[in-house]
Order: sequence, then structure tokens, then C-alpha cells
Amino acid sequence: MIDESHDQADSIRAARGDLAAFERLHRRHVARVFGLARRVFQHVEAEDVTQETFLRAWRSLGRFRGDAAFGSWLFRIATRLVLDRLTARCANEPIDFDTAAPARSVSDRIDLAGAVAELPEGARLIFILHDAAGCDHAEIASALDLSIGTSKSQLHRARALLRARLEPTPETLP
Amino acid sequence: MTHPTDEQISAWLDGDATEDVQARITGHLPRCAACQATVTQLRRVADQAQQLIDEHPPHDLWPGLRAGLRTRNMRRSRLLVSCSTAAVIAIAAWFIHRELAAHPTGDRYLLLLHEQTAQVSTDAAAEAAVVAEYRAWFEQLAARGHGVGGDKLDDSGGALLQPDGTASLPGGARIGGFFVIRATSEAQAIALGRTCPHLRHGGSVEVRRIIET
Repeated sequence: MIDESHDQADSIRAARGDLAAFERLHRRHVARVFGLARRVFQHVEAEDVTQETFLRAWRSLGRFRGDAAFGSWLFRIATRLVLDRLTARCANEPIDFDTAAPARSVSDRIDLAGAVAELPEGARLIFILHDAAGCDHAEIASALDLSIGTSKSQLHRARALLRARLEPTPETLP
Repeated sequence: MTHPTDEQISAWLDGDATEDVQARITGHLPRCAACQATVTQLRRVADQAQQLIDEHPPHDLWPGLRAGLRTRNMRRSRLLVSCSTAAVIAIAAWFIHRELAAHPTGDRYLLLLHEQTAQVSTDAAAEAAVVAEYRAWFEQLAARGHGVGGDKLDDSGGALLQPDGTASLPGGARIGGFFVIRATSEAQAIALGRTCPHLRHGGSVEVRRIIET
């Protein structure tokens, strides 16, 4: 559990140029930022997104008023960056909503992360952006060049697929 | 009994289901343990999603980030201060050879020139124009009895000392220089500060009264 009082003190120091304070913020929050980026992008790009998120945060610290938790503010920067990159990618390369990823586990036992990795690309992105990152359907639709209705239906499809994968019943088994 | 699909239940959970589907699910759920279990499982999938996104990078990203921060800070400092604080140097060096205005009155006020991230041209002609602009502004203040002096601060080095004994390099929006003016009231000092060309060049100006001791 991240102590927000430490974040508040360190964000004030970092805004004044204290690199040691910014390093502490980095170490407390890098897992969440990298984790989000890694769920959306391949490894190299995920690292790049992570670095860019913290660079933008450093430049913007003077405008951080502390009316939200630092972690939430930082995560919002990361989410915005992810959406912008997806927007740029989708301009040239439509998202695949049909092809399931190769199964990672041949056993019946699989965790949520494993099940998410097996989702078709489009459903996986929308599930991550909406349920994990807290984006609304308008943002997702804009980034992925979809209608809001498609974003919603793909989210519900993703959840249904995940439930079937995680808690199979006779009805959901292929 | 016809059960709603998982996708319909998920939509119902988010308020996205059509009225017809909403009514059907609302009427069906109290009578169906299986669908109640589906609701629970789908909620769990959505709720646990946030836990998915904690993953440490396989190697430490801080060294690369720190190097990037230092490079940007050094580049920004050079761009930010080159024009506007050069103007302060020019004006201060010129002014110390002038007589003070005939009837200085009022308290002294400090105008602290905070730099911002605005890009400033570094070519000689643009720099000369900025210097002339600051000089003209300060001459007008001096002519009216308000200008006292000014100085540039070294934009490299320095230290920011903390109560806990730590010291760090000053960073963020640094103070590039200052002017000292005279004004009969804080309101007048602020009004004079608003005319400072530093504001037009993207910097901010802090106005503080000097307590005479």
C-alpha cells in the first residue's frame, strides 16, 4: 500500500527540482505505470511509455496541485500516453477483434493475467483500458477509432470470455 | 428457463443493457442461482482487473530516466535564461552608473523573475531585441522614480537546503534575476510588475515588499 503522505511530501520536493524525491516517487509507482503499458504494448515500447510518463510528470510537477493523489495523477498521464500511441497506431493498423492469442496454458488452471493475454487483441485492449485503467468508452472509442457501442460490446465480450476461461462450466467449455 | 448471456449480464452490470434486456434480467435473477453466480463472477473479473497492472520492469529504469532529466534540465536552463537574464545583466550594468531618480519615495519591492519552459530564441538579433526591450522598460521606471536596480543570478550550481539537512540542486522554474523598484503601495508595485516584459516572454514575476530593517 502506497503511503500518500509520502507521495505528497516528495511531489512538493520534486517540483522544486529534488531528484532524490522524484526517484522515490518513481520507485513507488513504476510498477503500476509499467504494468499498464506492458498489458497494451510489447516490452520495448512499454519501457518507452514508462520513461515518457515519468518525464512528462517531471515537467508538469509545477502544475500538480495535490487535489488528487499523486499516483492517480501520474496514472492519468500514463493512460493518456497509452491512448495517444494507440490512436497513432490505429491510424495505420486496424485493431484485430477476431483472432484469439495463442493459449498460454494447457491446463485448466489459469490466472486472470493469463486469461487476458489469450483474448483477441481488441477485446484485450478495451478490457485493460476500461476495467484496469479506468478509461471511459468515449476515450477508448476515440483512440481505437471505434464507435462507443463497439467499445461497450467488446468489453462485455471480453468479460464473458474471461469468465468462461477462468470458471468454466459445461455450458462454456468449447 | 432462458438464461441471459454473459455479455448481456455484463452490459446490465454497467447499465448498458437495453430496457428490454434490463427488465428480463431483473426479473430472472431472483429465481436463478446460476445467473446470480455469473453476476458475481463477472463482477470479480472487472474488479480484479486493476490488480493486473502491477508489474515491475525487468531492470531498473531509474538510471536512464535520471540521465534524461538532467539532459533536459541543462538544455532548458540554457534556453530559458539566455535572453531574459542577459537583459537583466545589461540593464543592471548600465544602471549602476546612472544617478538615482530625483525623488525616490515609497517602499522597495523585489521583482523576482521566474523562468518558465517557454522556448526562447537564442540568435543574436533576437537577444539584442529582448535586451533593448528590458532596457527601455527599466528606463521608463527609473525616469518616474521607481527603478532602483537589478542583478542576474547564476543559473548553474547553487543549492536548495532543506530543514532535514539535505541539499539538492535548485530546479524546476528557477529565478533568473531580479529588479528592485520603489512604489508607494503594494498595489502600485504589482501594477508596475505587470508591465515587466518578462511576462511577455513566458516568465512569471513575483512581487515582494522588502522590509527595511
